[in-house]
Amino acid sequence: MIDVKAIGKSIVVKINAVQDVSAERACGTILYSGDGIIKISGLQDVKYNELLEVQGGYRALALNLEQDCVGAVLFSGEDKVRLGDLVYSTGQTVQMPVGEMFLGRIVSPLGEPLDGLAEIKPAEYRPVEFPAPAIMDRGKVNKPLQTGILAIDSMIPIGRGQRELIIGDRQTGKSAIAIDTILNQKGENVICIYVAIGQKASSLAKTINTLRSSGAMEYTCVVCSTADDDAPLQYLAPYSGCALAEYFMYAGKDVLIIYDDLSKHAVAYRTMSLLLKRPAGREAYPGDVFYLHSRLLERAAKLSEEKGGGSITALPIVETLAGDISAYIPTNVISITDGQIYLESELFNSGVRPAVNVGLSVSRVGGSAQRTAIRQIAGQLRINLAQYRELAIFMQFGSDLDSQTQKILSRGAKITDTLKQRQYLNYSVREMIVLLIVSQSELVDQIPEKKITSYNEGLLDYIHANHEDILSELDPDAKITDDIRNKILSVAEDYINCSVGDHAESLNGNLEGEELENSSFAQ
Amino acid sequence: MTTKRCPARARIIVARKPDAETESQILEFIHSRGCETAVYEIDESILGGIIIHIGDTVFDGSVKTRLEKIKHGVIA
Ligand SMILES: Nc1ncnc2c1ncn2[C@@H]1O[C@H](COP(=O)(O)OP(=O)(O)OP(=O)(O)O)[C@@H](O)[C@H]1O
Ligand SMILES: [Mg+2]
Repeated sequence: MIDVKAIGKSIVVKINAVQDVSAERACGTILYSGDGIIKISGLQDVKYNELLEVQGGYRALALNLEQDCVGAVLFSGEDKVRLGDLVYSTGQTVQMPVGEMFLGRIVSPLGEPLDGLAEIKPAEYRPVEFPAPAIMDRGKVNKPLQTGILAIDSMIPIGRGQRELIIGDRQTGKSAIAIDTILNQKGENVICIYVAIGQKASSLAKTINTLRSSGAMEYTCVVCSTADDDAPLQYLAPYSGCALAEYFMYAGKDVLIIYDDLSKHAVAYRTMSLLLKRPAGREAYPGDVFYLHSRLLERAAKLSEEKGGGSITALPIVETLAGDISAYIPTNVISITDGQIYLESELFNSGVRPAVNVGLSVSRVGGSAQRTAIRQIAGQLRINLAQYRELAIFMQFGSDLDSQTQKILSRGAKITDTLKQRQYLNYSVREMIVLLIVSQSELVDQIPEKKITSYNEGLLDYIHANHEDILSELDPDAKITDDIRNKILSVAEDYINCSVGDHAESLNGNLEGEELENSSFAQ
Repeated sequence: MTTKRCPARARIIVARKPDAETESQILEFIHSRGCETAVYEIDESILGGIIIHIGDTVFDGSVKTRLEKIKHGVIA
């Protein structure tokens, strides 16, 4: 039964707790309003980045403090405010409500729920602009953040607390990598925050559906601003997301935050700056556009053990035009981050997905955080691939190749094929070790080139079904011994014999059949 | 440089016309803030209480604002 008295009492307590200060507040009037920008006379004591309250309940952000007026951008109500309306200062900068309750929710950059579910009760409020952790408070990046994508975890490893840029043309699978990384954090004790900046509502809905249906929303919060939101909201979104991430980081947790994408963020900021009549620089971006992203990305860090050891790993996304990474925003963000994953539309269209260009992608700090076993067996991978690519380009002009060259080419092609990975199909670390060992061994010579992808998938199923013990025996944090390597290779060989051989078709059907099991034990 | 202007007139918003005693209290208050005269505006939507504007400063003692604060405090 509902205890009416108790509810009444608690309401009275709350009402009494409300501070009734009819204190004096500074207030100004609107002199100009247009394109979401307002100019206010009065309000002489307002501070930069202060939140303002416009008559009618709208909020604005003070950005230009001038001698006789204040320029501010409206978060909403652009078409509702009128000349002469009153504007109050609030004395605070913009605050983002934060707390555990935000997990599983979809919120606006001001922390309001957008998913139509219950009101969110914040644990506290954090300023959206917050200084990055000081040098002394930072620790070493030493724990990997597993993306579940073989090409990335083997060659461009990401550590917790790192900032790794995902860059590429439109429709090259940038968001796909980010989403796959979120999905792969299930059970890894990493809180994920996906910040959508100026995205199409349709693609955002798709992303959210994916996260929901795979159960990733449990540990994820989506902070979203869509393409039809006003520029100030899009501008605010990454900072709000970061404030939420900081709440968890300073509580000692590991957080993954994705900014999808910062190009649109820069465009939103450019819009605001031009409307505020700030001087325009290169590509019409204002002079402080570098600082716009550097102060955001500097807040991603790994804290030292004394500070709780939490971390924010940031995966900003930047879209390029026709692969031009020397444009203004791409160069800026590349120089701020600790490495980049470069996606190429040519690769993507030729079926290499994820379309990672290994030559142009680097990770500047994640190497030390890579799992020992992966580092050991993937060490040569990057060089081998580079050699193969070079040779492949050179050889497309020649017709007759000697057998040695042919072998290198076919092995390279098979490694490339091994690195192809379907969306939403994440590999565990142990599965990666198996695939890396097999793809770099002599065994691959026995597999026809076209079959490598299906072979890999079949091999993993086969091992899960029949040789789970090999996987559990693998220790990703120790060197791979010859003993383990041979065990894996012998299982792989068994599987070649029964899947790629003459009678492959008949056997593929009953993979887990008795005949198969017997044959593998006989070895 | 702009200095803080202190206008001679204060703008006073009330829900209904105040009685003589309240009016003299109001005058006393605005005099203490360097204002000389008051102009009254009647705005019933503030429900009750008083809002005083002196230059760039506003003293909001309206019932409407108080209720809104309570609403915020109870829901949040
Ligand atoms: N590894 C993959 N295998 C197969 N298809 C993929 C893979 N990665 C992405 N795709 C597909 O490619 C398309 C584009 O992917 P995605 O939306 O991630 O690209 P994007 O670079 O974020 O695009 P945009 O520029 O529109 O943001 C999607 O339809 C996605 O399903
Ligand atoms: Mg995208």
